[in-house]
Amino acid sequence: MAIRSGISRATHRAGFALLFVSLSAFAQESDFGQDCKPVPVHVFTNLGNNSHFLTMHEPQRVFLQSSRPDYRYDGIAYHAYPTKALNSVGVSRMYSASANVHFYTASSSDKSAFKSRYPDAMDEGIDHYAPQGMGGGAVEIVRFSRPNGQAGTRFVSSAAAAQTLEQSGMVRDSISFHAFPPGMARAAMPVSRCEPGPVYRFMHKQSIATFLTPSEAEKKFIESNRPDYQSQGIAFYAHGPDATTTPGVNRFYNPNTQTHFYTSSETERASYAASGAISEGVNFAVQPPAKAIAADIAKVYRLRHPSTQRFLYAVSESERDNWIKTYGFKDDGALLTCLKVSKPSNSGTNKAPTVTLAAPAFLAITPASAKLTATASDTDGTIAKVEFYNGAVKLGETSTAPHEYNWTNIAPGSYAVMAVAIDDKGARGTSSTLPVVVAAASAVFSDSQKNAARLLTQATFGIKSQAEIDGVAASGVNAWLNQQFVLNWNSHVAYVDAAKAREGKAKEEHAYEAVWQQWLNEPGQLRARMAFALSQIFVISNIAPDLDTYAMASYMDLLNRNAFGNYRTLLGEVTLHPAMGYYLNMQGSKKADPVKGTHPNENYAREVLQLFSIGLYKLNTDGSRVVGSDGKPISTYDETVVKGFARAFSGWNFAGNNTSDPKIFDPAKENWLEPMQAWEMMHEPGTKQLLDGKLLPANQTARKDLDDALDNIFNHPNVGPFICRQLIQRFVTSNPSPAYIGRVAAAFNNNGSGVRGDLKAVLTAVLTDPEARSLTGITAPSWGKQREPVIRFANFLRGLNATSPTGRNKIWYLDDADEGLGQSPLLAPSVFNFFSPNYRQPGPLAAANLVAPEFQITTETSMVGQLNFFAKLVKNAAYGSGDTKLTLNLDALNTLAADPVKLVDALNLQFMNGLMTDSTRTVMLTKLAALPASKPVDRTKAALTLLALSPEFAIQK
Amino acid sequence: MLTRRQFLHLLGGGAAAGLGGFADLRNIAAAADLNMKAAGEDYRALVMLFMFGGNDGNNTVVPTASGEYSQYAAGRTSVLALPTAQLLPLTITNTPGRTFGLHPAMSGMQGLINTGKAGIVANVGPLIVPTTKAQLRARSVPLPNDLYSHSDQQQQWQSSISDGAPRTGWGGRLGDLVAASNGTNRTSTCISVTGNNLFEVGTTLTSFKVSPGNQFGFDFYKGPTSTEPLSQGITELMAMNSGNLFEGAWKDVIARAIENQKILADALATATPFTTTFPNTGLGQQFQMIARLIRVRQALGLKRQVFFASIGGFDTHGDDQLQRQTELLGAISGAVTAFYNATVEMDVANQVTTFTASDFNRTFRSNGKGSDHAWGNHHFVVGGAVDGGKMHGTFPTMGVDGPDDTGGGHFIPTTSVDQYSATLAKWFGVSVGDMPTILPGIGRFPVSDLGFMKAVA
Repeated sequence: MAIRSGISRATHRAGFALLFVSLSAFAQESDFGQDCKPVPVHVFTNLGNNSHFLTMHEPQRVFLQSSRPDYRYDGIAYHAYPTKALNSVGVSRMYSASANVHFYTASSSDKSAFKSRYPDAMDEGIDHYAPQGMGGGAVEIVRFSRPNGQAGTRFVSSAAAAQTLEQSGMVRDSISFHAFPPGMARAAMPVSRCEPGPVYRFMHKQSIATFLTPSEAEKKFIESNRPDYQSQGIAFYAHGPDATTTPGVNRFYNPNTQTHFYTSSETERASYAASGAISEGVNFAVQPPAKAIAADIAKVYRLRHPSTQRFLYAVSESERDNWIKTYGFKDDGALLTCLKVSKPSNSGTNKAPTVTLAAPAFLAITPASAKLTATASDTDGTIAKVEFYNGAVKLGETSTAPHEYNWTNIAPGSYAVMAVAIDDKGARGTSSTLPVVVAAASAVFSDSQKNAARLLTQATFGIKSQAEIDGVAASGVNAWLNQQFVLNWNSHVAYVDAAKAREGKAKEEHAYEAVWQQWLNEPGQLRARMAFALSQIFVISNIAPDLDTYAMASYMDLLNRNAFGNYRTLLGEVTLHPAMGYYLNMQGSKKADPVKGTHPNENYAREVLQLFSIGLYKLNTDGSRVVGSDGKPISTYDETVVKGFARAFSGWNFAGNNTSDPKIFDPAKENWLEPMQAWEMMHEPGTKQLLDGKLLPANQTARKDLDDALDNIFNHPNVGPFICRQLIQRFVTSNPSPAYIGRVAAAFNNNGSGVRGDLKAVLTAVLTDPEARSLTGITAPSWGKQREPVIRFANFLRGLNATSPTGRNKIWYLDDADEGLGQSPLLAPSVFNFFSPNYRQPGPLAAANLVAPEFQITTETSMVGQLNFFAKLVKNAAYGSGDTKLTLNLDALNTLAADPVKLVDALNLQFMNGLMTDSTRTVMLTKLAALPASKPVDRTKAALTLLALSPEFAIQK
Repeated sequence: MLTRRQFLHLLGGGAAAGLGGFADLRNIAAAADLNMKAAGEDYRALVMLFMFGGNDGNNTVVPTASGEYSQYAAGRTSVLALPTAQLLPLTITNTPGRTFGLHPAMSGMQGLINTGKAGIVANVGPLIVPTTKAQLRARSVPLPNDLYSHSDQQQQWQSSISDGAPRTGWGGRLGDLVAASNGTNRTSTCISVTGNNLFEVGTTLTSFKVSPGNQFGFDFYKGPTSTEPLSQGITELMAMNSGNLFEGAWKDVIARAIENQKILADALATATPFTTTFPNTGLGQQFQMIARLIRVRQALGLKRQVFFASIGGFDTHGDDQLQRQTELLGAISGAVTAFYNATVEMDVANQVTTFTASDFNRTFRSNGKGSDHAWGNHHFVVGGAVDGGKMHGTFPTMGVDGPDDTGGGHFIPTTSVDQYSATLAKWFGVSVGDMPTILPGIGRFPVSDLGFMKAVA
């Protein structure tokens, strides 16, 4: 470490690579623990790079202040415990010599990250102990990094300080750990229970003097750098410096005699300082615990040499007598009383009591109160008292049964409580810790945040960050839409071309990959969602018959190209696209053959009417059915009309062939990229009965008949309500009100400039409608829709920042209901899509006369399949394998997971639009808090698994 | 008839008695072997096999007497007509002078028909009332809504309601009626091995969906009594009330999946394997799962069950019609034959009846490549209780624009879906008084029992 010059004054200054020995062995059962309060942790700024140096050791502070002008003392950073306290976590110091930076963390993954960034980094051990969680006034210590990858970190304990750092350009990393604020009055600081730690002893071989330190780092430094010292191992055990509860042992260095001197006496302190010695501050403390018996006590004798005025510290009478005899030292009469061992020697005779604790796991009300109830028993005595702890903080105690404590005014946060029972002989038994979570009131997000999140949920394949939400909240809905409307898309055909060049041939899977590339990566999310919505109305599918890869890719390009265009253009391009031609058999359909008795193919004619444009019954603009005088709905067409359109659509086949040659019509050479062309001699010459009495005259060209027929469809009043209702269902809600459908259909009928069929105007109307944007309407039991399974999957991949080594994916067949999602783009079971816009889910939904399209593919079986799919995704934190393996980045969530409230709130906003109910919140917080805080990844994964099945995620509102 | 509880009690009782000796062991073995039919067991099951997309019945059952075949071949033209030599001969016993052949891919079905284990019901389709060509032309009778539309005709076949918006299916209504006789596991009355369908939607009962691939259970859920936090969280989330109906429906499906896991997976674990081999096709898997579920009916305490299986891909407008239908009918023949054999193996062949349904027939005349949507169609009924080896109903006259053709090759059904369903429902045990509840339109037809099911022994 850089500050190792601490030993420079020719004596035993071992610098301050303080590697405090890990006291985890004492964490649960040591019975020499005693009440303790937090002590100051000092902060210095490394003036070379503006990075922080923290230490709780007084000798270190004194040395830095006096000898290292390159470090500026900034006062007390915060307060923490000097040795292992109940429910505390050790804060280690790392140091990189190459970067000249120190780094502090309580997390092993942080340590690994620092080590991988700076291979020369050394773990200098635990400097102090931080309380786990909030409580007793603890606050979050937030870590900041220097911008642009520069080395160095700073740690702040207040929002104001954080803001200052942010303004200065520092980058907020995360919450590091908790501690008590610098300005906190000592009296207000909570009392915890600390364990004793070892104190090491050395003898300087030439000068014959003792050096004592509680720091393993100092010990190691001396062992490896100072051969003039002889290690004598652990001298005794002592608590940390805590002047209010135990007598502190002050370390002095006397430059004249070149010796260290230790004392807990005020009088000696004063006189020794007056003799010219430098006080290095309190180093450790002595106070034998009440229950320690003689066998546990280490008496430390101080010996002074009459001529050198140097000191030796002997830990036994025989050692004392030997040194007096050998070196001529005299007994100085001053005696320190420390612990010989860390555990009491009588623990085998008096059995410790046992205690269990009951506490409410979750409190939703603030300010919250909790009754802690302990059940304690002692087999060989009686229970003297029971103490209650929140983390390291002692809440209170009671000596009367039933042993209860009423904990009141608990601030929101996550806590770990425990009880300690003490028997009549002073033996202690501890309960296991119980999580207690107190949630903030559920209105953690503003209405504008919720609505921005709702818009992004409705109109994208998943929210990537809270920043995205805040951006939309700031800019507003229309600004976001206008931004999206001008964004382009990457050609799916080009993707297939590239894949073909890479892999030697085009494969159907490439068409699916192109779809997912767009969904997962492209900024033009609204276009992608619209193209997907259109693909669920104008359905083609590779289930049967097999479609050409380029046919599918080119068709997706068509839908993207027309996503914000005009419905009439879209309908025309769809009709002549070879993929649709092949799928619904218009490609190759020819005029009637009286000899063979054949007729033009009716497939496309029927479905374009029933599914792509007007539907079976006449509709009012608000989507309700027109009713005849008999009270019954009125059919939009009959078989004559289907046959009429079939005739009007006859005579078309693949482009790039000689259309004057009837022999080439069937079979024609395939062309999957260009619109189909007409063979006039194959076109039905007679009249064609269309909708609403329109009759096409005989002998028009194929093109003229096609255009007239599509115009006839396009101008039918059903198109607006029929198409708009389905678009609302795909983006916003399954059961829009008639008024909502009417408003959107009105935009279809006239975009405000007299244009019919403007899909940009339609989409704007769908997403800006008061019904879509209202936060009050969504509380109605009938509001909402199930997020489609593939969209839920995309939400996870985008929301958890999935990336693959090549940037590509291999998301292919998700339609299997047993193992997949029961849905997959371009793989619908038929032209009727995966689900019908009119599907009724039996039960309360159907009883309320509501449709629930997505529930058609939601069965007891597909539910098992898809939830297992999500659980596996979360468990592996990845989808796929090899160079297209999409790996989820859970780092941010893992950092939040220390506090379940923070984790759940983050997921609430990003995946539930901030609409999580209190009851769901209660369940999630309780269960996450029940998982160990030391395993944040477990918490994150449990949270995501619960998220995947929770109604508030699955149902979009 | 033993309930699941009695079953367990019997096992426990034998063991607890601890008398030892061969006699006692034999008793235990007999009690445990509930995979076999108990003497006098009252059990019946109906299995609807739906052919989605509209099967071309014209090439499924073909008249082979020379005059009729010529009409067939002329009407279908070289595009679609199957050569006589390829057709599998049927020994139909009740149509003197008229002979029939079966699609070449259906050799298994041929065997079932020719041994009297399966029958054909000709020219069935949705009707409001009996309808003649003259009445149709004169528009003097009401016609089913939205003829020729896939979605609507599927619903009419599954609901047996053709003049309104059906909310329930006739299998679901059957389920409502018999659920009480199935005791605690009444939710297993209607089971689908192929996803949601209208057929099994009742007023109070909805079908259980069972994965044909035997995929039960959430990998990550350890059950309602687990103390593991994640499982507890799932249990608690599922137990919460939701004001929102969609959220409620979502949880309902999860809860049913969990129940499914609990009841069916446990029961199926006790099912002994079949000697019969099922074909390794999607439909073969579906029928194997139905057979396994029937195998454990006694462990579940079930007396009446309705099953739903399906196969899609029949919407053959294009030039792959012949090839595709060959694949699909082959799959059906193989799966149904294996299933029949499994019912024989379980000694319940007379208790289980499988019947086919489809959107509609396809046009007798071709569109030049394949065929389009039509109406009346021919169907199979399979099982030991079927009056097999016969052509039930009236096979239509093949001529183009003939007496049964609306024009262009749509045969007007001569048997209604109501009658077809009522005959099956009666066998299932529906009384005359209950019949209008199950099939509201049955009163409009002169005959409610077409006679293709034998009287229950």
